[in-house]
Amino acid sequence: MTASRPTPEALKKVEDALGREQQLLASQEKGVLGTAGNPSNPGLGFGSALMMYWLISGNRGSYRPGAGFQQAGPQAQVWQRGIDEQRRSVSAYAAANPGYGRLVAQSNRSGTPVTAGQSVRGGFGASGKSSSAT
Amino acid sequence: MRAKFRLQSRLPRPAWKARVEAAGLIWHGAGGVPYWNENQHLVLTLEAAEVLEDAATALHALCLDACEQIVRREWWARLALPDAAIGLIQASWLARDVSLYGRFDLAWDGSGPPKLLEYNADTPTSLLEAAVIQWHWLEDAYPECDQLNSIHEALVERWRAVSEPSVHFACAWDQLEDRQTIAYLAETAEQAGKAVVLMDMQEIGFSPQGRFTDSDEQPIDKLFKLYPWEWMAHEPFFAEIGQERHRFIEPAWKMMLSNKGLLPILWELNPGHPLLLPAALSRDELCAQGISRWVEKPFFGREGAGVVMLENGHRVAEGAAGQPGEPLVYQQSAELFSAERNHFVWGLWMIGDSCRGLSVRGDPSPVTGNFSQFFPHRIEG
Repeated sequence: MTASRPTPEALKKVEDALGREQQLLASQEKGVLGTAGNPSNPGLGFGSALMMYWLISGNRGSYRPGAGFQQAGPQAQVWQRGIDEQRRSVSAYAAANPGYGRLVAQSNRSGTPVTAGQSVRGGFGASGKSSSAT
Repeated sequence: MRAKFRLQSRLPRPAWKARVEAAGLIWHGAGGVPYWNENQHLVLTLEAAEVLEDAATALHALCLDACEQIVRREWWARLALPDAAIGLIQASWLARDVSLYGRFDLAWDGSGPPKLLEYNADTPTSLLEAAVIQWHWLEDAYPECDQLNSIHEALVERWRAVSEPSVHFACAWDQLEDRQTIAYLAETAEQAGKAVVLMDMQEIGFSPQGRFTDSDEQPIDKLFKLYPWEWMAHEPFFAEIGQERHRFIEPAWKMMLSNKGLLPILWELNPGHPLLLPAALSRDELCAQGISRWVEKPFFGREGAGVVMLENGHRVAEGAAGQPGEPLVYQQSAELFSAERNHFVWGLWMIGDSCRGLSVRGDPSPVTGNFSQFFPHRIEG
């Protein structure tokens, strides 16, 4: 099978895109790792860039990687860790249902423990000592 | 000229107690005073009934307009509503969440137009006697006469417009009258083809999935709650309603109507309207208009509690004790129809946006209270 040989122009585009990605991530490095999937992010996404990197990896002989590629390799694992961490945090948040968690805590404090996975009860009705009639 | 209405006596039906109990009215003898008045009833001309019906329809339109203005102008402080409720009310109003029913209380002595006393838009009771018990009375006692009453049919119709196939009904279970009211409403929903579940408000659960549930852990698709929104607003589950808002009947926007703070707003938006009484948030404001007889009403009072009637600064009547410190509304006194030592208030029932029934409460005091009697009515051709 003939190896694909991207044109120098195409390789330059990939390199520029990775460079921009690098700059963007570097500027958001402090605690904000959630931009990878942000649709408003300009240019190539990180996943697309890695795919292109893989596609052209067989053609390295005719290509001298620039600064973008040189930094992408070592940092890929760090980025991936950040993304995984964020995913875990979101799913934990969704699973916990903060309202439910809050009510469970309240219920426990009032001496009525809640069985895991069951509804919390008693959050309505405490004012009904007299008729609601009007 | 024939009087628009009159109080008439009639011998009680034989075994009337068993008859009303069989229909579900089991609190007909509250505190030793008969609640259901079998001995007397109101007789109205058709024209008088139409005046009341038209007044309720017009007032309902004014109230809906007032809701729109409250939301647009953000008049929340004027209704003394908690901040936590504002977003819910706005969303509920903008989405036009479905409303089931409400009852206007009107004063009318036959001279001039009827006047709005208040709108019980969230948790009106005396529904069973208005819809069923007085209808049975009419069939037994005056089968040739008519009554301003298609409440039952209208409720069944209204439930058909609710898309959810099952409805839960909840109230403060210890309150017999409330329990009986939801039992009746559940019957109307059943007749509309709904599956129904009755429960105590305290049995309502909140699931890990963020849904309100019944005691069998079944998610509640639609909840009719005979339980005031202003009570719910101070309870733990209120903060979690969020996306479940549309499941509640009456809807959250009814908080704007079941609140005496509405009365000054209505007057301000429609100054001099023939169906309204001057109302203000301060007694000075009312006095400045040359008014010397007025009624002080707590914003969230029920069954006359906390209501005080004054004339030239002197108390002339008052209801049961209210909650101290509650904000008050000042409304000009209206002439009630009086006969045989009773003062009468006309209750006009709105089902959805239509007036579908009339009920009458009478009391020796001009302040209608929990023990005011229910008088049936008939229309004389």
